Amino acid sequence: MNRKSLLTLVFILSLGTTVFSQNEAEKWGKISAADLAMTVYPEDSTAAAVILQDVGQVELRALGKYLVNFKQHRRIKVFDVKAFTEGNLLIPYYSIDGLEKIVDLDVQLILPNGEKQKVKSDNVFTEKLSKYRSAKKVFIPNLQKGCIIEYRFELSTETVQVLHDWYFQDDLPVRWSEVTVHIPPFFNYMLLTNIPRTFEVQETKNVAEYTSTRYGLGHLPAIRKEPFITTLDDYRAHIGFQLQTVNFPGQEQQKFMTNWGELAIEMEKWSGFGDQYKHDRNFNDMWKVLAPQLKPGVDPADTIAQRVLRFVTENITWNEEHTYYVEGTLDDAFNRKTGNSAELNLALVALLRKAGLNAVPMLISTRSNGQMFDKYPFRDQFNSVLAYLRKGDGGVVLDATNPYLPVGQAEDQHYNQAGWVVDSKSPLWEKLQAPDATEAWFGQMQLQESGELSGRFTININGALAADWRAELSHRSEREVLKENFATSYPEITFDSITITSRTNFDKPLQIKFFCRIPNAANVVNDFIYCRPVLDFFVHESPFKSLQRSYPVDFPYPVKMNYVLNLQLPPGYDVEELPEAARIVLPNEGGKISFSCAKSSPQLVQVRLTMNLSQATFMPQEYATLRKFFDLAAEKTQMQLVLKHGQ
Amino acid sequence: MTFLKIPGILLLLAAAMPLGAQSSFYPSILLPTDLTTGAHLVVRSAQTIFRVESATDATLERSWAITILKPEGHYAAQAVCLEDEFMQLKKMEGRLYDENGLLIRESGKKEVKDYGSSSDYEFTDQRVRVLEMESSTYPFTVEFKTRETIRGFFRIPDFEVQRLGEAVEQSSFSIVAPVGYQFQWKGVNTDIQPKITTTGTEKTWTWTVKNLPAKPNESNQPYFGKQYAEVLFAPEQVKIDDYSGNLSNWTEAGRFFYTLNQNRDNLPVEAQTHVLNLTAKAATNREKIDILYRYLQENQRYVSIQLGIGGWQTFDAAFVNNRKYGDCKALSNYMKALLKVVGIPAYQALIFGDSDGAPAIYDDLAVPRFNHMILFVPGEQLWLECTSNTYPPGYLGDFTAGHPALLLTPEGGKLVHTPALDPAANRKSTHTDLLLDEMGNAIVEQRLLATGNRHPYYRALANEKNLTERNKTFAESLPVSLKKLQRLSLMASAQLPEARMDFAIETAGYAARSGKRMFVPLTKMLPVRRSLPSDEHRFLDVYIADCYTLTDTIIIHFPPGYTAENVPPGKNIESEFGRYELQIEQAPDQIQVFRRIEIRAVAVPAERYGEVRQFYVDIAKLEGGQAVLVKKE
Repeated sequence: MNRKSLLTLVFILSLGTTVFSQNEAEKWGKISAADLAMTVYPEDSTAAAVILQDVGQVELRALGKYLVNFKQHRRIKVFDVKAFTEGNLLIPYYSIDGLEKIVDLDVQLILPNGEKQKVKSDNVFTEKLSKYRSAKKVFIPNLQKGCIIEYRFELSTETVQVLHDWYFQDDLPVRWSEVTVHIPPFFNYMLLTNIPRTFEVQETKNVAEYTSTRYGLGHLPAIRKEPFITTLDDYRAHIGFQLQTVNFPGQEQQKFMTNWGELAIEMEKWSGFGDQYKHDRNFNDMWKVLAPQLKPGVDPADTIAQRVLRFVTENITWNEEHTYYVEGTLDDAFNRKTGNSAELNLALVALLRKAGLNAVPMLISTRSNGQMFDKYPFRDQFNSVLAYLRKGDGGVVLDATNPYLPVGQAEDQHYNQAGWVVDSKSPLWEKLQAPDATEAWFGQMQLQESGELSGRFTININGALAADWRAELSHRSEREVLKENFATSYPEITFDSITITSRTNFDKPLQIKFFCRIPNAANVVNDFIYCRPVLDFFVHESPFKSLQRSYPVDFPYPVKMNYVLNLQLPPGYDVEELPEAARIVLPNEGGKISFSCAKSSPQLVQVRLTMNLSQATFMPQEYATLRKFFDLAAEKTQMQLVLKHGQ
Repeated sequence: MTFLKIPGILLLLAAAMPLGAQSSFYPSILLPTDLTTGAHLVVRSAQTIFRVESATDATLERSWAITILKPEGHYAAQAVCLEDEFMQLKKMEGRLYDENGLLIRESGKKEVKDYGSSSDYEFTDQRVRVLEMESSTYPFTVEFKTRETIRGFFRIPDFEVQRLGEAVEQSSFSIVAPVGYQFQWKGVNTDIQPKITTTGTEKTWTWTVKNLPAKPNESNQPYFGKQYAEVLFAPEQVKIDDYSGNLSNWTEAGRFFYTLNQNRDNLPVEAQTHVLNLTAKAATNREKIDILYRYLQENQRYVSIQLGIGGWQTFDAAFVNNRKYGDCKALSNYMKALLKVVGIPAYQALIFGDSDGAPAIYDDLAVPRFNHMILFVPGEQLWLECTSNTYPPGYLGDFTAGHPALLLTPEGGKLVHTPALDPAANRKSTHTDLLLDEMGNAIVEQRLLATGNRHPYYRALANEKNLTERNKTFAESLPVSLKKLQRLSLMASAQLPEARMDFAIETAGYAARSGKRMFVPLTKMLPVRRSLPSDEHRFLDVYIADCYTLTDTIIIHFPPGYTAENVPPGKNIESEFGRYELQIEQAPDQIQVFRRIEIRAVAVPAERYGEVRQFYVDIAKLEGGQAVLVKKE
């Protein structure tokens, strides 16, 4: 379909009806009578505002130097006071070293009667948000119901390797969104898309040697954050552009990341990365302190790895920044006692190597930074780094950003499918899977005639849950931590003889043993005692409250929960009724719940509840099943025994 | 040794000690246990000097060394200063020492971080400057020195004598001023007296404390605003920009803020005409107020722009009329201007907004510890929160109810209180029908009426941006898993602080089953969870502002073929802190649960903590009640 016929189509439709399918953007200030008069958005009649159109333009110019202009032109219709916050615009940009500049910003308000009011500069502020970023803040005056907010700005940068991402979808419904990419013929970009369906418009034209491609999507629903996601940006329909090659006529082809091998070589040479762990001068101070604690050749490799990890976590605090390069040197971070994720984990790489182990860095994009692309050999898609210690054919990760982790485990944020091993000899993508988070409860309790429960529990904990418990236990008494764990269900619980094993030996499972007494744990009525034998479990309530989900569920780690209780009945009582056994298995063994409750001797009942969840990602069509799975787990924690006093 | 010598020695040490030198600075291992017990940090030595140069100019010099014992004290590993048009940071340095008191490092020149301090709906010229001295092993000691110059001030910083959870080895605060400079002061939870010395034309007041063991940081405490013990100051003569005043008492303090905001309440003629037209048909003043408050809500939005004196001085009403946005001061002033057109006088009121409470205000010391402004209409005794687009006229909410407020009147300031929350006005009443099926699932139909501080949640739900969002928020709030939403309607009253909700849902699971029995929680749909930690040695007084009354009728309809085997007995709990009443009536195929809970505000001394907690524990026990149904053979 060519441009002319499109325009014609729009023209006819807008005359003939108020509801039309827009797939062409309107020019600045040209507002249709229908849009002015619109009082509800037909596709979401309860929406307080709608993005009528959002038009992007990415333009690369080679004028002596490269210059990229990103333009955005957005129009929002505000129906109700509820959406008046749309009148506060926030346009962030990377201001460090003048990396990006906002060169033009126009904002106007179109009143319901069509009158246009230009927003004057005294409503516009520039704020430095941090060292890296600034923002334009615009407070649109005179905003009223039925107004249309229209704004456009131009952001200019000299960065050509990666062009400005375009998000078609937002927290408001979007009627039409499009982006046009305008590039010189010598530049070859790779496209990265995540869209729910094919583009409604995808057309390429050549204008004076430039290639101009337009991508358009319409009628996108508002998107909202749900539990268990990486970052909402991964699920918003979007498109990105990564430079692959530049072929100037008569010149040799310039490659911008043609393959992973070349990226690995470049990373290894880079002063902010490979240079740091390859040259002693960057970590001498650290090594001098650590070296006396190690006996290379004598200590087994595992012991060395553990010592190095402890050394780094005890000497450098993570400053909560994820990044993939070192700002000064590793020793700077060591002497400052604080560092970003690259400084901590490249320090691990440096020290492990120096101690004779085969360690290399692994680049990662954190869950909140979003997905990575293995067809996309480009470093800026990463935002963090782990240490990767080779072992046989594979290897294990080390991560110093959380001081309670063993060798072989990273912080949850770092589990985002896979990581890229930076090694020019054999660069490769390694799948990353978090160790199982497990809690195994084993209890032996006695139920009294009064309804009191008392007895011992042993809990063995591994993986992410062990790190959480250890963090809690590091600065509070075990009694307080346990008490808080039970506080909502059993406010009267008391503890005794608490012992904790492997509190600081992170490479072993954490073990907590305790004796507890819970008055009124069971309900005693007449001759009956009703007792809920599952005192605590991973799931109390399903975390999935929404009925539907439009994008996948993504769990950071697999879960294995096990609860066993041997319950001694009070003398004179016998079992009147036991809850039925139950079992549910998700398709493809993605998860399993089993529950059983049986009499193992005349006065003893054994209760078992297990829940495994090994599948990390569940698609929207599997959501209903997943909800049922969690509902069942929650239900089983509520099961009750009925005991009756024998006559 | 007097207090003045210690900092002197410190300075010498610090100056003479190159990086890595083996001199020891406040080794942690030598700390006496009466200072470390119950403390997450120990203030080893702190010194603040506030030097008054003139009525407008001052310098604030601070140095402090803190040994951080535990992660809870980690917040003290950073120094934070605010900078704006009136305060400039001239120096900020930090040092880090290990547990033996050996210097680990000194801050570099470029290490001070600079952040904006405004949120999305704000722009301020205030910057936050932060210096961090991190360590991952405890204990460690940090030392900071800062110097700020001040141009134009009406507050002398508080002497934060002691915060909860912190022990103090030594701390001092000095005011140095020209002889004749006048100010008032007051100690709170401390009775220290200043040492006063005069040298030439300068007079110095110094307050010093030593060896204060830590006070525990407990839940449900009176509102301290971080400072447990403090000395507060009120300067007599103040000058900021071209505004001078005096804070010797509340009348004068109020006059100062009144003057600062005076003559900014005049609307252009067209706007006045519009206001007159809007209210032409209104018979009473109250009707006019309601109309104009609604007009404000439908046309204005909250945007905070604070530049220079704008932190304390409102935008002009004409400006707000034109822009249709403003902050709490600007919107209160604009509302005042609207009322002025129809001849209804109103006063702006300074107040501290926080749902957890407000710092104490003392009759005898005019320290303006306020962060918010609302409007008071004396003729109707009506308070108006002008930053909400949805509240009914006269409703304040937990944010400002029961807090001290300073009315700014032409005659000066008047210290008053906004009306306190009343459990009888904060109600939630429900009627629920619960129809169980054989699988233990239920159809739940509920009608709900909420008033007072129970109602804003439902008002917000009624005002969600669209239906999808509203239904999701509703589903998330349910204490059961939703299978199907049959019906949901919400209505918030325009005129009164009340909202109604009506819904019908199908749940996935409600009652647990075992063979032929079914265990039916009685009040699971309307859970009441209140608990207090079991502090055995409570030190702080107990303070709970929230109060309300819940009245619920729940009718549980049995699945066909089931009868009740056991139903818990009804029970009443009477306490000074509230009442709990549970009545259960049985019929062959249903039980009717009637529950009434009154939770009263609490303000009692520490030794009664156990009683308060017990009341909540007793409620929690009854809340777990369940009926046992059994299938007839």
